[in-house]
Amino acid sequence: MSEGSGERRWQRLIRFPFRGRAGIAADVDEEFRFHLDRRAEELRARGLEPLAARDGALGRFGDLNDARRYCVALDARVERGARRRTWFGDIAYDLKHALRQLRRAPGVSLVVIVTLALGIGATTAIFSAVRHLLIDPIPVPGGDRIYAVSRVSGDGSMFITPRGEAVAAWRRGATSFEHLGTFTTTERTLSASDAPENLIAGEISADVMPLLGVRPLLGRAFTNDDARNGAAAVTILGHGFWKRRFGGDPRIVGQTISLDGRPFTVIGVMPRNFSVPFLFGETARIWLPLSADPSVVGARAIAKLRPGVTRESAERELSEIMRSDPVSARSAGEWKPIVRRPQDYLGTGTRDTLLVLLGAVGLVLLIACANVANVLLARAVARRREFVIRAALGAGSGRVVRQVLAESALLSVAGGVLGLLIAWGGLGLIVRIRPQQLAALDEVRMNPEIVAFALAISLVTGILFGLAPAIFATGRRLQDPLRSSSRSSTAGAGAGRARRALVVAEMSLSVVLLVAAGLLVRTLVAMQQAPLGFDPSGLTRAWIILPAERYTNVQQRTEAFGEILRRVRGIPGVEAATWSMGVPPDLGITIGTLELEGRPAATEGNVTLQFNAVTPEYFGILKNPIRAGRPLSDRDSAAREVMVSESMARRQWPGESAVGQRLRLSSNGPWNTVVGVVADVTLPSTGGAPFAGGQVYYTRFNAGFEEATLVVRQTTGAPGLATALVRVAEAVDPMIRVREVNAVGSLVQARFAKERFNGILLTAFAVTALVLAGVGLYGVVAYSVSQRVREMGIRLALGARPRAVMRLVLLGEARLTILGVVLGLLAATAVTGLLRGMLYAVEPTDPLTFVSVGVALLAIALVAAWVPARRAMHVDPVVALRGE
Amino acid sequence: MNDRLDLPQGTLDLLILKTLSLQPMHGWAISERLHQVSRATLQVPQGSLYPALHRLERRGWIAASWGASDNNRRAKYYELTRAGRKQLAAEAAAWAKLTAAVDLVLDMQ
Amino acid sequence: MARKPADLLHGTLDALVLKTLSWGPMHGYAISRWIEDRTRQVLTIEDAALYKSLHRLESQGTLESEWGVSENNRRAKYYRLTARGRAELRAETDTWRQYAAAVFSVLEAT
Repeated sequence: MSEGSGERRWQRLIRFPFRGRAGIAADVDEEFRFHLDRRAEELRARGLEPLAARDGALGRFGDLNDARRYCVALDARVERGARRRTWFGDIAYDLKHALRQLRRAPGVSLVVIVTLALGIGATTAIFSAVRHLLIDPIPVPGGDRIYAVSRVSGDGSMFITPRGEAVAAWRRGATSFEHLGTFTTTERTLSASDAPENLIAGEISADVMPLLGVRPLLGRAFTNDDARNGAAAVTILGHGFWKRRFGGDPRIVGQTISLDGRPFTVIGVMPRNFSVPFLFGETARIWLPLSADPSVVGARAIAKLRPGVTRESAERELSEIMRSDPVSARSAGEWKPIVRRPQDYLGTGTRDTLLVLLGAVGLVLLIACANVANVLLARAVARRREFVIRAALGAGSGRVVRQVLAESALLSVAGGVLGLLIAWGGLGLIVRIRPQQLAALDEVRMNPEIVAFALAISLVTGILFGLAPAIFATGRRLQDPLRSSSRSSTAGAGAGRARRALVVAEMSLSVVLLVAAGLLVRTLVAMQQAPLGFDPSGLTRAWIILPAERYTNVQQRTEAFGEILRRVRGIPGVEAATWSMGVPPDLGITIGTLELEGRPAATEGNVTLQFNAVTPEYFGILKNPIRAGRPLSDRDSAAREVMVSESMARRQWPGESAVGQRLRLSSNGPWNTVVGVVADVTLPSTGGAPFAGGQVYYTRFNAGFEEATLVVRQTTGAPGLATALVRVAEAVDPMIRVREVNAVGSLVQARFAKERFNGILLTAFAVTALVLAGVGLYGVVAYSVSQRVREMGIRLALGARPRAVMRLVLLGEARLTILGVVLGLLAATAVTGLLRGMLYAVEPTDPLTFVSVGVALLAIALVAAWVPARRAMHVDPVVALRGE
Repeated sequence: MNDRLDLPQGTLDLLILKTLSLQPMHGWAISERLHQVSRATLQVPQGSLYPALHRLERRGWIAASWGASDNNRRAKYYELTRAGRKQLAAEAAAWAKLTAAVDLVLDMQ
Repeated sequence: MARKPADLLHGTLDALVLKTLSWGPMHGYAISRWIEDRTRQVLTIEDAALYKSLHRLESQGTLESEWGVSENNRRAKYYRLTARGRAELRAETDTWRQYAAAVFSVLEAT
């Protein structure tokens, strides 16, 4: 009974397609006709005339038409419900069955799920990043109409903020915008006795929040009055800052905090993750009102265009209005207003990076899909008998296709979900290692569209590669496996070829990725190993600013700077400290004419030099070795001493000593005497190449400005300096600002960030690809071994040595690997040219990289094939020959 | 299924005839008695009781007469006729046969 | 003579049909014959009522149907009890038992 009912259920489920109303009526009629006929037969058997029997049957039936109407109406209703229920019921049945099948082969399922997850995860993460950077960088309603408004120079090379007057005129007259706001950032010190802290404050005009469609989480937004002269100082706290400093206490609204020694009333708290577009990685902790007054200088402008207004028409209107401002009109020829989207700020190099990553991730996905197809194909071959038996039991080919599709879909959904987790983690990693140019990545979130995208990929992948084996399984040759009991029949030949082709493709795609990753890693290594000319470890720099209104003369400034330095040197762990104008990697650049004494003037025209103004201790603290002569003396600038970099000395005074020579950077200026030669300080991103124009060091102008860079060397392992420095400054004068406290080492590393970013991501992709390709090869070899168990058994029984059998397997599959590697290397030579812009000190056709990738891949392939081949060696001839 | 059973027409006729065979009653008392004797299982809605009484009266199985009820109100009393008594016997036999047949199918004895 | 289905308590017919099908899948004619044979013609279900009951029970999910081939090699619609049908059969049988007992209690009263 249960056997029969199972089969009948099967048949019931394949009753496709559903009947229409006419079909239902026909069914009821047939059912009744059958009944009436049987009844009439019965009556005839009792001796009635055929005609009388028919009438008798009809009479016994009762109201035929009423019953027919009733049954048809009822069945139609049932059918409608069943159409829905059966569909879901079938899906549930298929999924349950699929789950059972997958659990039966957990290894295969796991490989497929993990493979898909890796492919989908990587794709989703990179897609999210690219989407955020290039497609939808401002994820707020109407964000695609938000632009930065600035001025561009006539030759298109420079962009600057618009003049305040122009912004005011635009605000009054422009009709292209829904909102026009201004914003800028400043650094402020939160004065708090226990833990003073430097903060970036975002200053925004009252229009900015409505422009972004944002309301404060607590309290109120800024109004135009908040920024008026004489208005009470107010601030809105950033969400993170509020949580961190005030434990998320809502009662903070209405209280006061002290910034740079002045009280500010907290009027609200921003929602989580609030930021203003075009800040590019500057994270404002608190927000202050920015005056809309035209006198505000250097504020950036942000605008939301009205729907339907084009960029060009907006710019045209801005130009016209700008001409009405007399000051702007004067420079109208030189500067044009321009509106730009965040993606316009990405350099072409950055865009190339993104596209290379997108390409790489696409390859990973391809490999993942090939792998899944491979595994599913192998399974389909192994399950041919199952499918054939099912078909023989009456399952239509549609059923079998559905069944296989259900398995694939289940795998892809599982892979998709795991992939989302990977994407989520990957995105976090990407944000952590992002270079400065991609600061906008900090705002990348996984959004519903991206999740939908991932699920779509996984489903399409599943359907695509579920379909291939299913079609294969229900193909014309479906009948033969029943006839030929041997599994080693030619049945799987076509699939075998397909799978070998897939493995070759996987191998070659992995080779391409590995070569690309190898080249980038070599670039990174070359950069990391390039000599910097100084030792950044233990170095910290900070920017100290004296309030100009209180330190008006050199005397006052010298005293203040001197006092600060004295106290800094007293901080525990500080080995040495001094002042300079800058610290590498941030050196000043000067463009001018370089004149050497005793040489014809202006031989080189304008030269670009790096320069710094330093104290005698500077070189010792940086461990920047002096190659000849002596350090600058500690006298004032009147001595007119300079030091030059080694490469500059060699180039300008070849064959003679630079020490004692005189130079000047402008004709008619005073001459400076070279007193020493120091090692070149190189920019990491140039990989150790000296700065072409050379480097010149002056004696630091004593307290000439109210700002100076403090350079501190600490003993290794000493704690961070930031708080200690703020305390020192506060102790000297609470109005002194301490800004940009950074470890020099991290500044140097930041210059590698882009290369490291590319290198890490591409390497991750390449390793993923390699693992996937290895798994794919393993699958192919393992499968072919299992198919050839009988053959191996016969060989062994006939006296073949086990090693010979193993060699046979290995040799068979080695051809695949070699073919894949060769094709991959060929493809790589064609593709790596695209990387040229991202490479340093490495040629795109670097032989070392190509050879090592080839060798590595062959080695991996050998291992992947060796494991199953060993199994072939240990085949027990008796078991193998006994058959299945 | 709820605990109270609405009666098919034929069975209702049978039960009314049976009830009136004991003594003449007014309509309300019939429904009360059915309810009581069946331990609240049989429920005769007034909407089907009175049509049934009129039907039985028209067929000549019961006869109606006006009398005074317990609380001295005028009420219509029904009593069984001779034809009614015959009909009751036939109906009761048919019912027993039907019940037996159903029990046969349902495997109950 | 046979009684009309109107004398059967609503639901009794369903119980009869369900019970009959508990012996195995049958088409409508076979159900009708089975009941007749079993009760030696005492119980004759009106065909129209039988089919209405069958289709109603199927719509309620207590029965399911499929086309099969009959003994005389003709296409016929077979009905089969579902799990829900078995539960329903138990409930209907109880109801019938209760009903019959109640009617008897009236008939036996003196």
